[in-house]
Amino acid sequence: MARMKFLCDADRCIECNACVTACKNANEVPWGINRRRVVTINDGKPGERSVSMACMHCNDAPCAAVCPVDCFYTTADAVVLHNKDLCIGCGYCFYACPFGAPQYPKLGNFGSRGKMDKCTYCSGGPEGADGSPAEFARYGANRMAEGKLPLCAEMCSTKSLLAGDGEIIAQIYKERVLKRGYGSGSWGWQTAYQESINV
Amino acid sequence: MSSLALVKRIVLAGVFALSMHAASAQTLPDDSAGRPAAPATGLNTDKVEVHEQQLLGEMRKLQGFITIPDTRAATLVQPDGRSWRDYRRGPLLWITAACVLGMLALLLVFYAVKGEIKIAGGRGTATLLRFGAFERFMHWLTAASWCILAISGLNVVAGRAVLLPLMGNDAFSLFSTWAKYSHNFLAFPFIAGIVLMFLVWLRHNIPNKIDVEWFKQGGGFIGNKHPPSEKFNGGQKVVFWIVVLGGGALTVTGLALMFPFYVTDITGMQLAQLAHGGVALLMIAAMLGHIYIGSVGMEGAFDAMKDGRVDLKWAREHHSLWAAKELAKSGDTSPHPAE
Amino acid sequence: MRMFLLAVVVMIAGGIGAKVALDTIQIPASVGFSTGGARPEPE
Ligand code: HEM
Ligand code: SF4
Ligand code: SF4
Repeated sequence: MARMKFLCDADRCIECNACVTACKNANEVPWGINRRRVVTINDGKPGERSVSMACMHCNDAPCAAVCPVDCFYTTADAVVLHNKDLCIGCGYCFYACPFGAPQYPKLGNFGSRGKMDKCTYCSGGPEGADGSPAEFARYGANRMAEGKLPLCAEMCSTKSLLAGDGEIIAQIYKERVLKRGYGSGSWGWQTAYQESINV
Repeated sequence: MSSLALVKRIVLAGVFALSMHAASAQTLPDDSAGRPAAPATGLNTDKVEVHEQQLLGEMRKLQGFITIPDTRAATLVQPDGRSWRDYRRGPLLWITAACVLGMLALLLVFYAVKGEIKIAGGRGTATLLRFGAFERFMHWLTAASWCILAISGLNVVAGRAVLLPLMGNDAFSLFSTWAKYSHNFLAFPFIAGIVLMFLVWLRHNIPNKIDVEWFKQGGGFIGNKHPPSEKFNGGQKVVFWIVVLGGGALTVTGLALMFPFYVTDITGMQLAQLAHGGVALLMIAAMLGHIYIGSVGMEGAFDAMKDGRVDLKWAREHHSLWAAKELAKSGDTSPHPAE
Repeated sequence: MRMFLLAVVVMIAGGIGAKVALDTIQIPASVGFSTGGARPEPE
């Protein structure tokens, strides 16, 4: 079975934030929650790089490991999803997540952060049938069920953000690095998958 | 042709290409004629290479600029999240088991060996007022909310391992939601109780020479002597300070957790969590001992919190100096009979 | 044990009071998002 991953080629990302917008639109993400965001390091300085980051759908996902109510599950594509009916909004997954992916509809918790929301790799969630309005309202689009990849990567104008089977996108990245002679690395891969792409 | 060989070739080619690139960067700092030479710092802005792994080696967590106001999103990678995860799935569970099950086992052994510590010659008829209504109220306010905080706190740590298999996902999630609400909101009565106990009982809990003697004699637990003591003996003073300092630490770290990211960042939140859980578990171990000796462990001790009046014989045994003072104060040589 | 019962009642009242008070100052995550993040001036 394919092992789905994201890869952001930071040497190509132009920080246009189109992936962020695409995600918001495809999933009707509520105000205040950003399932994907673009972080620019060394902004305005030498060595500036922008990286588009969302949930990396980690191996042995830290969020799933610390969740006190065990509400996460992994799909056959190795996508990490969770069940909002079970979530108690404790915020622990955010502490454990290396990529700051989990978010909450309320800023203070006071016991009421609300249900956690995060990137679903456009795979919907455990509600209703695949692609049903009920699923969409709670978890967002289920493009994977339609055989499509996440919209953020699909419409990235520089093809910096890649989504797909881990081995295939790693291969694409390797070829790029070989051709252009440099590459800042597969951001987050070491932390998420305990491997990086060595070129 | 195996794909492995292909990968090998690509890797080799990559290493070669990279080394060539590095070499060219070294030997040709400004290779393009017409462009200004590298600035005096040696930095050529066209050629600054960035490597995630190298940055992570230097900085532990990577932070940058974002165009959304949610400052938490500016942290790009914080691998420490994985260590936090490892701690929660390993050591924390063992510490929990040691503090709760280990302490219960110790108390059981103690009870088996020593049994209930009796009042010599049985209860008498005379009693003495040990704790007034307000003292009992604030003690129970703290104790009741503490019990719920401890249970709901332990649920967050170990409920998934212990209760989830028994209850099933839905029931356990519902229970945990309520446990979480109770933990968050009953924290405030608990804090109030801690503050009250601190203010009211502080003057009785300043350590002094009598306590040193009390500890030297093993607090009366070893052998059958009863060292003299005032209102609170050395052991009780230790309990007082564990409650005040532990409760204080739990308040500070607990409020930081309840108002996430108001005062600190992700690292601070993780540390607050570590500290809160650690202090809570130590306090649970200590309080199990305190509950034991205040109930089944010692005849007559519970009366002090039941209606405030203790058996005079008990008071003379365990708090001789205090009992003498109280009797002298009231001039009461024939104290009230037990109800 | 009357003081115990009183303490339990006060505890529950205090807990509910805390919930009501805190819920009134609850902040939805969308607050402040309309302003967006202005890029700082280059150094
Ligand atoms: C003094 C006021 C206290 C406050 C404000 C407070 C607050 C919190 C908060 C916000 C959490 C995070 C979990 C959640 O949101 O449900 C937490 C966890 C926890 N609390 Fe408290 N708490 C307090 C007192 C206590 C006491 C007295 C105990 C036990 C004796 C305790 C034991 C725990 C434990 C064991 C955890 C789980 C820690 C972990 O997951 O590592 N807390 N507390
Ligand atoms: S990136 Fe964060 S939320 Fe996504 S699987 Fe990893 S730990 Fe979980
Ligand atoms: S916020 Fe929800 S999903 Fe995250 S750890 Fe807590 S219960 Fe699990």
